[in-house]
Amino acid sequence: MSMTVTTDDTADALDPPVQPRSLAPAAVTVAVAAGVLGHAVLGFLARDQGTGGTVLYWLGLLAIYGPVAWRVLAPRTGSLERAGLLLLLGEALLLTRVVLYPTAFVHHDELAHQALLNTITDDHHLFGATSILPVIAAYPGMEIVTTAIHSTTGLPAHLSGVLVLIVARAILMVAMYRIAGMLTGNDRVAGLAVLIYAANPQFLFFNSQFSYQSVALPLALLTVYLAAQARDQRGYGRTGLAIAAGAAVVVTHHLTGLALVAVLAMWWLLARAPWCQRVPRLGVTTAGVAAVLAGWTLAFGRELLPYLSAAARRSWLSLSDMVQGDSSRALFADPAGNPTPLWERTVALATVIIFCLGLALAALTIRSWAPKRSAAAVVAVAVGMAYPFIPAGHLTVATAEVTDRSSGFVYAGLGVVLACWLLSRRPFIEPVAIPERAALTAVLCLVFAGGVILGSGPGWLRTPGPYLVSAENRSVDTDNLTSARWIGGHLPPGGRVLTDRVNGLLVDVYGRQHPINNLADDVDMAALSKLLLLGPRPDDATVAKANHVDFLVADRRLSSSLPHVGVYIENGEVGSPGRTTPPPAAALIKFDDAPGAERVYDNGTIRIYDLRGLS
Amino acid sequence: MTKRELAARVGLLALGWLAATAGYAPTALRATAVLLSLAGTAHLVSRLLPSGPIERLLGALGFLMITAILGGLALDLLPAGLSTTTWATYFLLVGAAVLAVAHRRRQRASGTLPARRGRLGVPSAAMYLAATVLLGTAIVVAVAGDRGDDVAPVAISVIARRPSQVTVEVAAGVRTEGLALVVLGTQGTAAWRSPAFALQPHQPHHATVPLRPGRWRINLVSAGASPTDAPVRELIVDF
Repeated sequence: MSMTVTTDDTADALDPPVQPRSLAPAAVTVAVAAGVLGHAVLGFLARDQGTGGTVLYWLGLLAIYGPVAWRVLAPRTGSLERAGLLLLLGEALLLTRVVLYPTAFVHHDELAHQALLNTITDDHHLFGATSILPVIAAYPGMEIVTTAIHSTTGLPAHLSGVLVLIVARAILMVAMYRIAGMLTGNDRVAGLAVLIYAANPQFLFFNSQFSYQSVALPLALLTVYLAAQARDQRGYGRTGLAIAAGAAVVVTHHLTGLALVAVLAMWWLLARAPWCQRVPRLGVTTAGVAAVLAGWTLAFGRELLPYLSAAARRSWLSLSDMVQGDSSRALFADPAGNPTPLWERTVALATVIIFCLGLALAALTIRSWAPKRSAAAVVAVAVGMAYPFIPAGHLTVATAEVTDRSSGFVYAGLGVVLACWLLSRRPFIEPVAIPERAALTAVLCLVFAGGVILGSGPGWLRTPGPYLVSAENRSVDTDNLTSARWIGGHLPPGGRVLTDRVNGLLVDVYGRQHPINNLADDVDMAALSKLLLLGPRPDDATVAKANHVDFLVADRRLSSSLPHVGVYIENGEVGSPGRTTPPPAAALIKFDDAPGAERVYDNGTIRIYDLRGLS
Repeated sequence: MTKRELAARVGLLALGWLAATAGYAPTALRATAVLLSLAGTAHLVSRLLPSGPIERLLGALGFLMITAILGGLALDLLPAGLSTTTWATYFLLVGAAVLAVAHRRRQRASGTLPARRGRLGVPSAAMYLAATVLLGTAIVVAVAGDRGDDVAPVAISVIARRPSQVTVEVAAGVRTEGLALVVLGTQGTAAWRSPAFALQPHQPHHATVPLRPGRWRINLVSAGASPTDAPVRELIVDF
């Protein structure tokens, strides 16, 4: 069977005849709700008893993904029901994250964005200075919407952010489904494409976080959808909407804006080929969004170049280290040395093999399944074929970060390629038999689990639990939240604070202080970090005064373990990379005896030193 | 659009604006009114779109998100910026504009609803109800597990200083057993002691410590501790 691309919106037309209402959608909804409840219970137990509950974690996820996949693949499922189920899938997976941390943002990027949200809420204006990630101030789209909800409803900032993420996730799922439907002309293939998309490593974690890409990505897909829709419309209405949506992407996230313009430009160029169907006003949309991108970058992108060049430099150094056999990256282990369980390695590797094999087979038989005369389909295939770069990027820490971030884009193409190819194979041609559907559902569950493993990083990162040293969400606990809130209530705002990575985020968000960091302050972190990570030194006071350190927040637990994310403060700190022992306990109390330094807060774990009087 | 529907929609928009700008309204009421007002605008947008229910949902949600982002950029140019009043007024204007367009297109705006696909049977309804209960339980369990400040540690801090004294605060989120006291210097050679006090959760205890020039340690100690016991918490001030 060969799929033919249709430029008509025929997905609804392919609906099967109206059937008596089935119990299946309701049963799937119950299973999905049970999965979310499982994660809520897991979060409760993990906090209360410190148990991780690996089985409950995976059962919860598979109770959500499996039944939805099974029903979406059923040939008799209607287009509307498929869309509803995929929407349910996206929102339920988002909720599994929310129920683990129901009252506060705890991940690194979430806290950085919450700090920007605080600035906008306090100042009532955009583009204020931010401490941790200066670049995000120039891309405030997500914070704008959150501020709108927060200030008009009076809901807490966290809940307002969650509402924005829920709307963004709905746009993502429906837009992806409709784009795939328009590309393939078959809503079952489209459903499979979205199921594969939901298996991308960033879907459950990074793209569910309160981070700009979580909002920009859905809007980028909406832009593509609106641009494609323009062919059915007279006048420039949809084109104007597409440009507006593209503009919203540009002001929300830099790389998504760039990727969107690249995709639109590629699509427009291909659509000009004589063998492709023309897409009316695509050039106008592309030019419009590109103009907004250029204008915005020129006006507000001064922080973008340092940010991107730092990421590129890290990736290049990691790659050259690896080539020279000098890489500090241990595959399947976190920087603190905790190994990934064998079964997780197996599932992750199986996922990579399945996708690479599927892509290779799809490439070999491309003429039999690829949509014809569609420039958009060619773009989707080109994007999907970039998949092997994602697992390859995991060879180094820095490149893993870059390639993983791209999975939100690449899987859109990968989903279309594999869905088109797979459902053109004989065993899966409608009407599909139950054993084949069961096998396909099982494989989908496997690659979904593989995506979760690849995207979540170490197991400790997935759920709440006892405190771990420099371990993102696992380092946020009552001790450091209490101290950060105390700072917010008792220290003058805007003070320069030297502290570790997680406490830096918390004093920024809750304490309204400026945590000193290399990106915002261009400091010599190798020298400055000695104040926190080495024992008493003669030049401590000089270094502190030279860097205008007002306060130092010392978390005594830093001396108990190596950092789980590889650094205590940030890249370039003393002793990294290759650290083998934690800092001595004496490092964290050395200002007790420094003349002029005062310990103004002590909760047993966190000690805050006022260094403004250092002599 | 009938006159009655028009009046209801105008009323909903006005209610949303009033709720948002009335700072004294309870949050639950305020949030419900504002979100209903926004949902009303989104619903109206969806009815303006000449396509199926999936596309309408996408269009309505996309419209809300895009108008909020681009509108926020415009509001930033105003002196008042992105305040509650400017946001509420902006949403009121957007809602009114959508309503005006819908009203002008009286016939076209009515749209077509998706064909009914049979009635929801009792078993399905029961299952959807069960799913709702499960989700509600999930939220309750999640919030119950996140106790936050209820387990806050005992902390001592300097919260004010005057020429001859500092005020320290002792706070905790949990009840502590026995009595505690604030001591200037060590337990054995204390220059000053506060009366013993019981630490109550979320009821900070304040103590004013008299100081002379010098470098001082202010300790929180257990009332029954021996002179050689380490303090529970310790502050250091250069006076």
